[in-house]
Amino acid sequence: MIFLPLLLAAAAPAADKPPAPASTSDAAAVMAPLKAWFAGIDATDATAIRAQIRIDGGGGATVAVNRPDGTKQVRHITWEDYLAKIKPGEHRYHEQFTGSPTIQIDGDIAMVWGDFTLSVDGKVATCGVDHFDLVRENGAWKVQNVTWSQRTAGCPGA
Amino acid sequence: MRFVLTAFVMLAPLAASAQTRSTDRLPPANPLPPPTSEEGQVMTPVNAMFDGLARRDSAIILAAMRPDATAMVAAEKADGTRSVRRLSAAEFAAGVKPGPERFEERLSDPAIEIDGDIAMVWGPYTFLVDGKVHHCGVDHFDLVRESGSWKVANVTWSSRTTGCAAQ
Repeated sequence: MIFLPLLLAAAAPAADKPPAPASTSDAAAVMAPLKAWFAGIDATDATAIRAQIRIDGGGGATVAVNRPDGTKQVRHITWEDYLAKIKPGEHRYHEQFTGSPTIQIDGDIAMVWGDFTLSVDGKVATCGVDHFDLVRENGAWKVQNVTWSQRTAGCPGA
Repeated sequence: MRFVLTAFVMLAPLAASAQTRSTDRLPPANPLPPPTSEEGQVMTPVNAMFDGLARRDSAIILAAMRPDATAMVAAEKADGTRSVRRLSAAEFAAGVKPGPERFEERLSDPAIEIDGDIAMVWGPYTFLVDGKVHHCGVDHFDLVRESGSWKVANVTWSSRTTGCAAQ
C-alpha cells in the first residue's frame, strides 16, 4: 500500500517539493550496481567493478582521508587508476554498508549515501561514508562518481 | 531562439540567487558574512555557482569547483528522448557567457548530508529565464572540504521541460 503513493510522488513534478523517499523497487535497482561492486571487491574482480561504472573519461573516485595522526588529505583518482588497484593479492578485502543508506532518485539520476566499513583479512580497517552518484542510461544504473570519507578511529566492529 | 535556449540548457542549468528575484539588476557586490553552521558552509560553493550563473561569470563558477570536477546532466526532452552527458568543469564554465537573458535557479528544500570532509546536497530546482520557468529537475552536488574550504567535486542534475511547477 505504501508503494503506490511513493511511486505517484516520484512521477509528479519534482520542482518546489522536498525530496521524497525512493520506492523499494526503484531503490533496489539503484543499489544493484553497488551490490555488484562490493561483490567485486570481495572477489578482487576489477572487471566486475568496471561493469558498474560509466566509463566516459571523466569522473572517478575522490577520497577524504582522516589519518590517525590528525592530518587530512583529499585525493581524486581516475576510474582507470582506481580499477588498476583492484587486483588479486595477499589480502582479502570486504566492504559493506553498516546501516541503511539514504537513497534519492529523480528520473535518471540517483544518489546513495551511507556508512561503510572496509575490512582487511576479516578485521575492520577503515570506515566512513560512501557517497555514490549514479545515472541511468538505456535502463541501467551506473556509477559515474564516488566520494568517500575514510578514518581508522572509532570504526564499528574494529 | 529555441536553439539558443537548448544550447545553454545543457551548459548552464544552474543560476541565480534569491536577491535577483525582484529586480532586473544584479545585486551589489557586498557578500554576506560567512555562514557559521556546517550546512551553511557546505551551501557556500553551491550558492556561489548559482551566483556565477546569475552573473554569467564563469570565473565565479570555476572558483567554486575543484579543478578535476565534472558536471553531468540527464535530460528528458519533451518528446520523451533522454540523454546523459558529462562536461568537465572547464567545459561547463565555458558555456556560461555574458548575454542578455537573465538566468535564475531556485533550489528548494535541499537535503544536506555531511561526514567529516565530504558532503552532498540534493534538492529540486526550477530554472528561470527572464523570470519564466524554463526547465526543472533535481540538483545533486558532491562536495569535499580541503584546507578548510568546501568545493564542488561533481554536480549532476536531471532536466525536464514538462511538468515543472509554475513560477
